[in-house]
Amino acid sequence: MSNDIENKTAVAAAEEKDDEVILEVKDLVVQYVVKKQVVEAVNGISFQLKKGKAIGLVGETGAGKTTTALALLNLVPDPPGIIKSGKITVCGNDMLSLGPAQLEKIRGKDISMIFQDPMTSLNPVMSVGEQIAESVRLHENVGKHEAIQRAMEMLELVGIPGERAIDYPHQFSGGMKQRVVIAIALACNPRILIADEPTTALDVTIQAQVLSMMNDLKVKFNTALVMITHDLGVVAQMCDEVVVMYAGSICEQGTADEIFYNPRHEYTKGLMRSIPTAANNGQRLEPITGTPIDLLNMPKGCPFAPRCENAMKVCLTQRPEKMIINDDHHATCWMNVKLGVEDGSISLEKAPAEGGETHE
Amino acid sequence: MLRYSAIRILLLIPIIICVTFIIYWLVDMAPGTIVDTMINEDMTEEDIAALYAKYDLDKPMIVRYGKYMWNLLHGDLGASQVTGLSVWSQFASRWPNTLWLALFSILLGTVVAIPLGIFAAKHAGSLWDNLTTAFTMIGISMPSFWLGLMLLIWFAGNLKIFPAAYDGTWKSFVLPVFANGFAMIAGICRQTRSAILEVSRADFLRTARAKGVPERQVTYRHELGNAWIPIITQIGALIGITLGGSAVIEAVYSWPGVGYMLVEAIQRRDSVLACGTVILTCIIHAIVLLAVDLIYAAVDPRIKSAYIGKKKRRKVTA
Amino acid sequence: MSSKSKAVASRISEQYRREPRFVMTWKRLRTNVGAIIGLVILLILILAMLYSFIFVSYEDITKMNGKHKYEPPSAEHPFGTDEMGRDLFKRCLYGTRYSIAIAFGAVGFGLIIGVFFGSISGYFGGWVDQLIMRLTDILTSIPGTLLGMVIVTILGARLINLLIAVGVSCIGGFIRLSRASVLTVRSNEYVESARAIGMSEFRIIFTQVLPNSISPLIVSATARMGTSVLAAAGLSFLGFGVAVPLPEWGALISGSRNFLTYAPHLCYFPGLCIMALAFACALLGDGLRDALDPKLNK
Repeated sequence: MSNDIENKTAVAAAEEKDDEVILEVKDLVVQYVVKKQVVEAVNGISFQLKKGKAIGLVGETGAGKTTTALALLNLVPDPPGIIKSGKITVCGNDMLSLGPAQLEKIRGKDISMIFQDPMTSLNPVMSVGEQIAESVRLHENVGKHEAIQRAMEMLELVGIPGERAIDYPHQFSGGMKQRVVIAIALACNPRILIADEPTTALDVTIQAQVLSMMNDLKVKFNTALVMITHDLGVVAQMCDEVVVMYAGSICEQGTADEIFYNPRHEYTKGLMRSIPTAANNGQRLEPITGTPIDLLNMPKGCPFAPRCENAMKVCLTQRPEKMIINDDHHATCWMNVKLGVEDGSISLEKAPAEGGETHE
Repeated sequence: MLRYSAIRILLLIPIIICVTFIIYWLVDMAPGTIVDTMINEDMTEEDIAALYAKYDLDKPMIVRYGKYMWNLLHGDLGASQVTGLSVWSQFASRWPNTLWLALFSILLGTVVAIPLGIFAAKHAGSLWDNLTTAFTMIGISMPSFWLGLMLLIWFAGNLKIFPAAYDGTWKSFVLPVFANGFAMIAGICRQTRSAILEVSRADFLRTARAKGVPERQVTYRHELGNAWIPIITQIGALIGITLGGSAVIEAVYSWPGVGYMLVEAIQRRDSVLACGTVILTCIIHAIVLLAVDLIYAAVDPRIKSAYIGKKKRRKVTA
Repeated sequence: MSSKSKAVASRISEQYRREPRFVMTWKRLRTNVGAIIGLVILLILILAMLYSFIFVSYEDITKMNGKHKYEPPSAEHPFGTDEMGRDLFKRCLYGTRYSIAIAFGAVGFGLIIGVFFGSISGYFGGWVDQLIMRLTDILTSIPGTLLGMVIVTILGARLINLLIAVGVSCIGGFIRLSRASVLTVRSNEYVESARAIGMSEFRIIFTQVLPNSISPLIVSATARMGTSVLAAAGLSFLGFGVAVPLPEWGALISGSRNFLTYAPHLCYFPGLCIMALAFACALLGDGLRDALDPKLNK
């Protein structure tokens, strides 16, 4: 197929320039409409991902991480979800303007996804081999026999004996099912892999195995990775860059080092305090109090303000804008203005009109 | 799988014995015996007693039943009291007509209903879905014999497109198949719609879409693949109802099937023919139910491995 | 607290308020258009039956009139007249009692026997369960129509026998259904606690287990009423039912067969009556299923 050759040359070309941006999200807004009420599950997020790099999407349940991931594939369940605005570019393709046939070519081939719950993510009446081979046959011009051969290779790759391809999902344990889900996602060597909490449903011992396997595969195939998790340990282990999400928006974004060693959003700081590290060894962990915000009743100010220990008046009345910390780091937290004013790097005139109130 | 089928077929035997016993016992209870129809005034007490003895009526019912079953195993169900022909041969000559009628109706029902049910489920809540639901509700509440008669009035009586009774041509199949199949379309369509709706929220469909499976293939391979069990249950039940209740539609079209034969036999008090027909139909019905169970295992590997699983697990641990 | 969260809070407290279950079900049923249509049709048919008890006598439906044979529907005879000049409308009205009796009687008969054996089977388990279930397998492997024909032939063509014949074919389904729901309920804690305070087993079945497993039975019974009407009409049509000259609907259709070409109305109207009753039961059954099982509500 000429199409295939084109693809191959494209891949070859891409391999030459290593810092090519292969995934770009711009001002993505996703809404859910339930009983005529509109919820903004994802509200204006932007990020980009370079070839072979890993980005971590971190946040609590309901922060919009999974919705973002589904939006990347243009698979937000409709109804009730709609991608309201924004732009998603996957390997040069505008995902939101393509027709179904073109999307089907991209899904699984250029970008694929590992789902959260391995127990329900596999089709119970198809053998795992068939489920992997289905993907191969859709995207590559191979015969049935060859596709099964590839499926068996993929199983070996994720540490399952190839002859188990004829078995059905119910004959596998949870960890093995997750490996199968990973094998399906990797079947066509995608250039971008989204992993939606790939280890949440697994035992701790299996978690480490699955993660290190994913890391190996990422290095081996130079796959870019979008890692969705609420586990900061996983992020530290796997990701080059981190996006911290709260209530559908990005509250802080930067390189992993910046986020871990120089958190500039109260929510991120809270997250750091709530996990055990070598630094806080022996101290009592501090949980973030309160519950995630009700997206139906978004406050006027910063969405995290009701739970923030250091909330100021401005936090409750005005939503913070994106504030650049440095080239690799930005956060949306009024605290940065306060700090800036205090150390003199921001003069009051530069701050928003109400910003002055922070000093009360 | 083979072993399982064999076990299931063996388990069918006691059921068939019990069913045939119940039927034989019920028929035996019916007022009047064969002998009553033969007695005339010239007969002496001895003649009558001899007649009773000839038909084993002086012996307990269980003995007669045993003899009956023994003969059944040898393909002998006695001879009709009216025509004198063997029950077995009468049944065998009529049976294909009933079977073909049932198969064509079920084929019509399945072929129309499954796509229609999927369509309704895919557009759940829309005007088309509501229209389909209304149509299926009417379909399941319409007596098939009534529809059959109306079709007779319109297409055989007024328009004269199709014959009113069986004449061996394909044309004579059209009306009965439709009258019989209409309720099946409705029943299977309802079941398909709800089964597909049930599956449509499953996570594995998302997995399929994420790997680029076209929507059509998602529906027919992944969704329908997981919705078969309730649909097959429904189809199996309908085959059973059609075979067991074939009398109704066969009576409308004077169809030379076993159902119509049974009705005639009962009307003529031909109890040997009636009993044999009922028993053979029950046996076929039980076999159909078994076949449906075996098909379950074929479409759902979880059911299949529940039977062969033990054996395999033993191998792994060894 | 915002107005929205107030609304949610009040809805939650509403759920916890001890509202009788049938009131809740009715509230949900009321919003279901299909169920209301079914209920209205059923009520009309029941009213028609009550009307026929009072105003339609046996003479009315058997009175022959040689001058008005095979008349098509008119103002005087809304459904027309039959081969003996009898008014078909009155005959259909008179016939409501048979079909409604079958709908409620046959299903009630099947329900009582089925629930009795089914709950015993599910509750006690063990060999009792095995025995009852194997007998059920046997019962359900006899086709309903055949069994009905045999039973009516033996017992005689009378309403009560038709009712039993149709009822028997419902038993198997009800046994399985009530056994399954009892099995589900039996393992719940409140049954454990009832046993802990020393309630007798039968009392537990009837006060704890059955009330909590009744929803699927109600749904199934309502739907069964529709199919029973059809089954009974089929048997009557074949001559295994209410004996002529009584105007059972299925028998009326059977009687119309000789006059199809010149008096098709004799076939149309009784069929419409059967369909109306079965349709009402089917709609009501669907509505009840949605109303009793909030999980299925979308």
